[in-house]
Amino acid sequence: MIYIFAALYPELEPVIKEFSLINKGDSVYVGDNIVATVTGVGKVNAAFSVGRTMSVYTPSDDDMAVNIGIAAGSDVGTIFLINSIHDRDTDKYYYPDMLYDLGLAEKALTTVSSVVSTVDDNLYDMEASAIYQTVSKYISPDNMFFVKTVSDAGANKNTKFTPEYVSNLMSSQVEVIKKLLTLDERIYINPINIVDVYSEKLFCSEYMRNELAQLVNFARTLDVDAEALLDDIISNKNIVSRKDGREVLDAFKSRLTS
Amino acid sequence: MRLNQDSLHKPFAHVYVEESVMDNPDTKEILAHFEKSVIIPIRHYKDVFNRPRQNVSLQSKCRNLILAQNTGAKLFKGAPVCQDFGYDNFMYTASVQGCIYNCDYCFLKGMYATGNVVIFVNFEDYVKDVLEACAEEPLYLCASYDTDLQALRGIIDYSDRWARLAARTPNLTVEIRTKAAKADFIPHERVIYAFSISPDEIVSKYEHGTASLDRRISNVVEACEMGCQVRLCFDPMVYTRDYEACYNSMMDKVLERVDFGAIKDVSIGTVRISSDYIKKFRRISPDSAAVQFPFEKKEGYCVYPDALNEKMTGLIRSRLEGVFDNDRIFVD
Repeated sequence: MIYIFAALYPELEPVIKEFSLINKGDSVYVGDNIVATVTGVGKVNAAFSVGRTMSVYTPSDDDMAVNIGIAAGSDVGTIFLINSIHDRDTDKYYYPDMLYDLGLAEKALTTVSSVVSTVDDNLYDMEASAIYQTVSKYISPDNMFFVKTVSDAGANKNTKFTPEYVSNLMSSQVEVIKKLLTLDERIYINPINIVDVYSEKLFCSEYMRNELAQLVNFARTLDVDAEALLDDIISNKNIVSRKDGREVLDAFKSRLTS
Repeated sequence: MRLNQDSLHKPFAHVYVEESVMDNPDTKEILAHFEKSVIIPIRHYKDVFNRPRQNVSLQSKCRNLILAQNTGAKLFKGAPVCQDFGYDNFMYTASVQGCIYNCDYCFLKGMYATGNVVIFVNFEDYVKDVLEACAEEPLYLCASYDTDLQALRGIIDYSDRWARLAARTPNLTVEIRTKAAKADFIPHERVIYAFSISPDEIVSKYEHGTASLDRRISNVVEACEMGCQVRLCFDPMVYTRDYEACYNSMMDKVLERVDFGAIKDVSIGTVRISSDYIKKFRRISPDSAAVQFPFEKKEGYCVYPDALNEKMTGLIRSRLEGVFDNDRIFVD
């Protein structure tokens, strides 16, 4: 699952259209493997919206979070992947892990609480540090991505921020989301049913069940057919009590480790 | 677990550099090796190194580099689980934290929150502390404990610097442990090169990225020929269902090529993992038999059952019988 956060609706609009996301209310839009949220402008709005989405949709550690949007900077129209986020108010730094090559140029970004009038080599936005802080409670840093397109070189440069201008700038970020979706292909390890089956056959306590699960997993790493081995051990036994089950478990362990 | 890892960066595609060491000569020398990497200035290495919830397993496949200065402790007492080879003042130092290799059973996976590597470029501060520690009494120093310094020789020559320091400091003996393919040694009576020796089956399954058995034996032979102090570490031995065949085949090769008259000593031991770390190890390496083994817990460590431990270490001991002096074999 990919969680997408953008401050303004026009920033998210190209993604909503491309992936036919459905409005679920509270500025949340949902589609196949995508939950997208319009957070509103500023750190408080961003932290609140991210927190609300995360508590409703309960992401796993393997899910991804992407903050897309516009930023002030010197290369208007260019799209950047952010490798460092500085919160100007708290003077704290945050670092999304840079493990995937998305083919984007990288830059540092500073999150500020009011619109900047001039820029340097950094990018400037008003939400990223809060999004990082909140998302990091749920998702690992290798699965956080901050993608920004430069919209202007500062407030006094007379840029017209029409919704169309912002949406047009953001259209190239749709490709980034498509690329991230290709990363989001998982190996789902099936629950080990064998543990359920044999813990019942062996009258396992919770402790024994955990031990059995560990042994079954160890057998898998050795390429040993745990089911066949357990059946072989059980074949001549009449198992009627937990004590009998304990003996089977001990024999199973012994056969795997000697 | 994410399946699609085709888009992972190459190792060290990013180098995080503390602003305070940007002009350090070692920083400049190291960065010269990474002209294509993205350099990210940082205020303190722990902001990157200690981030919560890092994916160590994924980072190990495309680890990044951090250059920093260590303003904290630089010398530590050797852990009780480590072989002290009879030295009273047994310490280790970590001028580099994290390893470019990826051994499933390595304690670094439990100790650190990251798969990244940090090189501390204030090497002279380490030297100062070491010289103070050995001013009054002899010091046995493991210099390649939290990393493999020999493997990093292409980036920074710390392995040689420690060796040269030992050579000019009478109270200092330095051990440099390695699984590296690179072979460059400084022969001296107080510089010990400790080679971890494992069967190829173990190397390929559990010691990802390290040198093959043949390469390691060649390095041992070369170090011996140069007159180095050489320790052979059959440690940690890892259980596999055919461990007897694997380790016997390994010993055939070792005994055929290594002149044991030139070996200083031998250590033998099986895998042991701190009980505090075992859950983390199993989460990081769900498919590795080396950490999924049903260990027994003993004195804070997950270890093999006594009978298996004795059988495995006994196998190496028996192969060395009549070949190498029993008094110079250390068994954990």
